[in-house]
Amino acid sequence: MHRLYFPTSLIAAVCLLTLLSFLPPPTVWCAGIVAAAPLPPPEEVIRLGERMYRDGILPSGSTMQAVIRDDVQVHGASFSCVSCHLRSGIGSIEGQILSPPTNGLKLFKPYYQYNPVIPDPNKPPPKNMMDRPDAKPFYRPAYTDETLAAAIRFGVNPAGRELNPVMPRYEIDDRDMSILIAYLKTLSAEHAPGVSPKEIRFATVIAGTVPPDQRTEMLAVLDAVIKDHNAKAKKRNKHLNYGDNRIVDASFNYPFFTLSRWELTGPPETWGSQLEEYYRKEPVFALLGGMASGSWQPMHDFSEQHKIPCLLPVTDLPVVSDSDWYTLYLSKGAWQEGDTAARYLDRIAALPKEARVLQIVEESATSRAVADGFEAAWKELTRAAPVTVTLGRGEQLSVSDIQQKIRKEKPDVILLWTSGQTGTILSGLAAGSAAPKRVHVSSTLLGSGLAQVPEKARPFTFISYPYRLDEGKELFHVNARAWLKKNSAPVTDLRISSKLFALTKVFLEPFQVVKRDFNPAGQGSGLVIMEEQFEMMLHVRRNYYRDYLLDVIGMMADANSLAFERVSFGPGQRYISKGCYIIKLSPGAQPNLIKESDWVIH
Amino acid sequence: MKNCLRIAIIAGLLIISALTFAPSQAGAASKTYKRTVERYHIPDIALINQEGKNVRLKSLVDSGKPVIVDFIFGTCTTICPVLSASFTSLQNKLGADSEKVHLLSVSIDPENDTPRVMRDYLKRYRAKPGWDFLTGSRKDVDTVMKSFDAYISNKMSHYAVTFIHMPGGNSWIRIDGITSTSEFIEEIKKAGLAL
Repeated sequence: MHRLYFPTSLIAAVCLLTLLSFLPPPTVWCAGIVAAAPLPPPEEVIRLGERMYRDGILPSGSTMQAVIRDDVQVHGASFSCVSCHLRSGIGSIEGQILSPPTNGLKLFKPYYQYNPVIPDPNKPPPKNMMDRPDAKPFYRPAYTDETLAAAIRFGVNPAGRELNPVMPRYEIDDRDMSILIAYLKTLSAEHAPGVSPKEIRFATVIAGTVPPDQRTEMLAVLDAVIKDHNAKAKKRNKHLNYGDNRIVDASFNYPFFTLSRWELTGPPETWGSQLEEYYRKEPVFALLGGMASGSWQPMHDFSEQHKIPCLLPVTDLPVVSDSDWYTLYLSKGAWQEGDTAARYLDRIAALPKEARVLQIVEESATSRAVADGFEAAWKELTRAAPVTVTLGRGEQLSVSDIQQKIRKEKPDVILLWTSGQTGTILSGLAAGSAAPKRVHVSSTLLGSGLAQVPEKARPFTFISYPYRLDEGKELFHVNARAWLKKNSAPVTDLRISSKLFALTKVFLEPFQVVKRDFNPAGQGSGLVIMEEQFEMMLHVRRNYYRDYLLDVIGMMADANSLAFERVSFGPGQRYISKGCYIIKLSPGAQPNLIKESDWVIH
Repeated sequence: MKNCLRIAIIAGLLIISALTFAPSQAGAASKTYKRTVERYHIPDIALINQEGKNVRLKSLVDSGKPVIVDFIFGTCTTICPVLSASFTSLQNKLGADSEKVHLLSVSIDPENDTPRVMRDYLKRYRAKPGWDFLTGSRKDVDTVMKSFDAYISNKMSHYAVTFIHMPGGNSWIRIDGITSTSEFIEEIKKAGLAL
């Protein structure tokens, strides 16, 4: 019998060539190992890596280039990592596309992701999610620097599976790749301060002299949301209740919430250092609500500096910014009212370009904020700046003074950004020989005294009004009022509890206590990361990272509100109510609010 | 012989493992979208473009130019950047003739998408003349979405859909899903536009 003989070396060479022909080009598997030039110091590496991740800018300052769907050219300014994987790196879900985590903790461990499946009532509950036959798991091995570079460049994961075609394939050289990977290793690597297995700490800030009734109303709502969570957590931490008499031992511990009160006294310039002292003594995960006698700026700056989320402070004087990250406001406050007046005059009233505008501003932060909002929008609308008269602190504008200004300026519109003296001025204007065509006022500056607008002035007085016009009769509103009542939170004209009811969405929903089982390995302490798909709750995925809380809120659906016509969310959006009405008042001591515009005016 | 067998087995395993770990090219080439031809009634409503000007949607559609419509929003994370990148690619291909095709991106987040937000968005995508981003009242935007049978109540659960319309008729090519540039260009050519 003739024996076939293959030299060992020949077989080995054929195997090797065959193997190499299937592998990606050498640049893929060498990436990250060889750096073309020495790397900068570690802090600079992280800064440059963060810029690549967030802004799509290479260390050289050039824009990152990439390809999606085989041939769609994109650049970093429009398609950086943060677009899909979000600031925390925990990922996102939008439409049908799930963007998986890219934080170091999860990238460099084997990753197992499963669908949440509602338990079958006809079968005994599984010991954990992995036992469920109908779960559709996704598994990949741990990334290494080399395989991660291959994923970023060629869209292939360590199992050889091709990533979703909308994941850009980036053109990044070895040195820049090592910088990006070094950053990813630090991204959401440790849980935030204020978090322990048993509790998560929060605080609320009360700065300066806040009237007692306002303080009481705010604290009542905050205590209610904390109580709501803790009551559910207590029950859930004892046992898991699938319903229909099936109760098993709890397998996951929901941390309880605590709320501290940080009281700031003295002038606002000292609030920053007082906050630092509170934080040094007691690090908290986030700030909730809060009130101040004046601008929220010191607290805003503190949050930005320490990267601490602050959810829904009750303030008319928020910081208006397009880029700041850590404070989520109810609205742009008084500023929004000025902005709305400008857009109304431009688009709806169709004020001619040459029209003259006289603006009266008091020496107060609120009056200045309304004027700032108006002026910013007016400028954007390419209108000439209004003629502005600024009153000194406590200065009262007499009727003769304003008549003199009117004779001089001959305005088509008067913006009366005044508070207590508004009624008197309007009465004077109405009694004059020729009543003005239109006067715009701010409901925040008028306070609870809308009725101070005299009847004779109501036909020409337009009020910026940032709240809903009815009480709301949908099921949402009925349930919301019932929840506040049950939790002893007073619903008053101060609108504090009706505004802060939104915390049940932006705060309780991300940390929702659910009746599902969990796999304890998900927290990241185990060798393998296991977590549910399609769930963005912090508890479910145990991602107690501050940026992730804000990422989760950014992915929320638009919603009803007790105080506002509507609240809406979106990645990076930081003012949940974006609307404001322009209204007039009907005659009578208890005037009706007459809608003159839509809720949102562009 | 034993040695040869062992080597052959190892070779086999290596080849199988290489095949397993190699990128799937077939997957990349497969179509990820669905094409249908539809008829839509376009409402005659006023929207606002990125310059803050009032525009009538019906007039834009009936302008005599090929029109391509999609639904996006300014802070969208995943789907809109892909759709907009396709618009950028098309405009790059059109070069100086970018206004030959009218691209209309309609906001599904009208509360946040002000003219300024829309201008910034277009700038980010290096939009050329011929690409407008439209916003409006919530009610009007809902009406537009419904007229294209593309209504979604929650913007975070939206999906990729693009509509191509050639002048002189009321039929629309509807593309559900995400195309590559070549697929997108091919669909536009199939619709009758010479590129």
